[in-house]
Amino acid sequence: MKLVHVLGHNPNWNTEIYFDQNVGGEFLITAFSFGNKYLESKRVTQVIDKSMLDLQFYGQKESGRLSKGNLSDFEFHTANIPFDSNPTNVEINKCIIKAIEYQLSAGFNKIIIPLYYEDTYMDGIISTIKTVNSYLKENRINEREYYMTIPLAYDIIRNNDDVERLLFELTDLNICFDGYFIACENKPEQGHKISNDIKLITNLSRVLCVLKIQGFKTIYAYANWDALFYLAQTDIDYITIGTYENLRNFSIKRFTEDVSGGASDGYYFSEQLLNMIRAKDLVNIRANDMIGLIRNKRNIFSDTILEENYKWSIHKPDVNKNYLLSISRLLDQLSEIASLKQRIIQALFLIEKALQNYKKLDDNYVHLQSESKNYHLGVWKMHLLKKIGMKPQEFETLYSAYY
Amino acid sequence: MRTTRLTEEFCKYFKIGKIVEAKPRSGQKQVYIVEIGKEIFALKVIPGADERIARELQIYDRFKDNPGIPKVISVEKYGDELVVIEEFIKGKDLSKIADTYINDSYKVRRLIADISEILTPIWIQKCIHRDLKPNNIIVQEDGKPIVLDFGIARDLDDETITPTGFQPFTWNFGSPEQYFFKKELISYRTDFFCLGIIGYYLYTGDLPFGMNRFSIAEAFTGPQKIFDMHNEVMNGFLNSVLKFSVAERPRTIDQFNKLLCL
Repeated sequence: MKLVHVLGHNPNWNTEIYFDQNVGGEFLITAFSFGNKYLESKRVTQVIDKSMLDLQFYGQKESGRLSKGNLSDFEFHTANIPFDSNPTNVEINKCIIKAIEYQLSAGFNKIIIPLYYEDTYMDGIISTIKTVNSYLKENRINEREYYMTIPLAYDIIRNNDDVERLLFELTDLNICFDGYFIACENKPEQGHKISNDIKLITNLSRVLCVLKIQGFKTIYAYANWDALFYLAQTDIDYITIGTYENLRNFSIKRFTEDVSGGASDGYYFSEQLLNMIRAKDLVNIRANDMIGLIRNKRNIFSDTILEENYKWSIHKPDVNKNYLLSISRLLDQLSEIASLKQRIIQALFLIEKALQNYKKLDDNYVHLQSESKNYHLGVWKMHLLKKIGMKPQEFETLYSAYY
Repeated sequence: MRTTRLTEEFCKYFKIGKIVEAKPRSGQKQVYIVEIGKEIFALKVIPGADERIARELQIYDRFKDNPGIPKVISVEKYGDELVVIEEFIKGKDLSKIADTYINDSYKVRRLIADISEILTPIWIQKCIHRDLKPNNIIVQEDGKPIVLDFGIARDLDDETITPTGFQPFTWNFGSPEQYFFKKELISYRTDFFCLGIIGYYLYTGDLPFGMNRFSIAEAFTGPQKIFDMHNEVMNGFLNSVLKFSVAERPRTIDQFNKLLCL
């Protein structure tokens, strides 16, 4: 498993932590943020030889109406399709082929083949994938790796029949992609940062597991810290890590509507709770003398932002670097465990420890709300136990023996 | 004009000197072993044959050089029936000698590998059999199989369910996607699954998912069945090819063959 920094707004935080703390190994340039001027960014040029480019066709012509974003920079981009026209699949396929040619000529070694987002018309997606695959069979260049983008719409990833059909097509004998670039729409509930929808997490686990078993490389793109849960179940070749929310949570809205990130003091990612804690909740935790419980160890960024008078803001580098460093360590630790069963058990240990830490907070009168509370660990735990066929009681005995 | 029993007129038309054997009726199709001149042939009478049958016969013709498939000598319309005359294969119907394979892992795997070899060029050209079952396989004297009824049987068999007693009809040798009519999921991996059932049947003398339509339906809608045959190689093969999810079965023919460990 390799970690890939998503480069968007403030890419310097990613490159700094890469060079200074050795976090991550590769980079994903987002077309939305940089357009075709990515080489004008000093930060990007520093790492261009380790980079791939997501041209982000997700919103198709809808992206052309955005006041922000630079997708239209690329002449061939679907964002440039006139809004009052109805492009045929043939036209869109031509854009996709040009996107491949562009990446080849720009010298990228990993070619991310863009695909539009579709939440109902599976036949359209499948037809496009087959067309691109046929093109690639005739035109692929050795020594380059080709990854087909699979934007998993919320309604598709939650539908077992759609997932089965998609996996059937993606694993066909005739497929010649080296791998898949998976972007999954999570739509977490209000007050949550990641999804705890059992249908979604079960099916996304399945997609990542089946593609890997069938010999494809996988890139889990725009991943949040839920990547821990998925990595526990299968080897994922590349997992992206990002700073701002929009780089860690794939949402079609970003490509079809002008959405603002909104003001936020930011969040503290705690390895001890496996969750993002709202900055304002830290006051409550501190007041009950429990900061030590949630503190990330050996993390200079964490040390800085947990200082009592720290002025919190989501736009501060230390806040974001705390997450990047923490999540990278957790993911690296898991990926080092070769046996998948052992890896799941290790993940279960982390989850159990986090559950117990939540209990300790409760016992010490710390009341956490919204994103800060535990809404996901129980679902993760049960899913992982089921995966290895272990009863909760059996796991508790095992956990007690270790701790 | 119906020829459930071959009429004199029919025999005269096709120059049939002798009807050697009338095979049990399979779906709407009737197969006879007949003598024409001094040679023996298999003669199939398919009522109400349509465009699709004609197309499938064309596919059959594409693989006429495949030694593992009987050659089609002629295809002719007779009244509203399609009459297919095929090369007659000497050998034993696998369903009749299935018990000679019980507990013989090597023999089972060898046979499956030989069938896979026959079907490989067919799979590569995006064609599939869709109706693999022991009585569609003839085992010749040297143990090498011949696969019968390629493609033709797809829409003509399988509707009859015998409520009592066991007989190896297609429901029992079908895949979940066939069972639930998910045409969009049918592929070469459907044949992999059917070969898995044949492998299990030959090795154990039993069927993996039950003896009737209801128990099979229950099995296919339940959790994935895990097989433990007390034989590591058979376990590896069966647990891979008998996945209910098509996408989870071996992706390539090479992977399928490697599971047989020969």
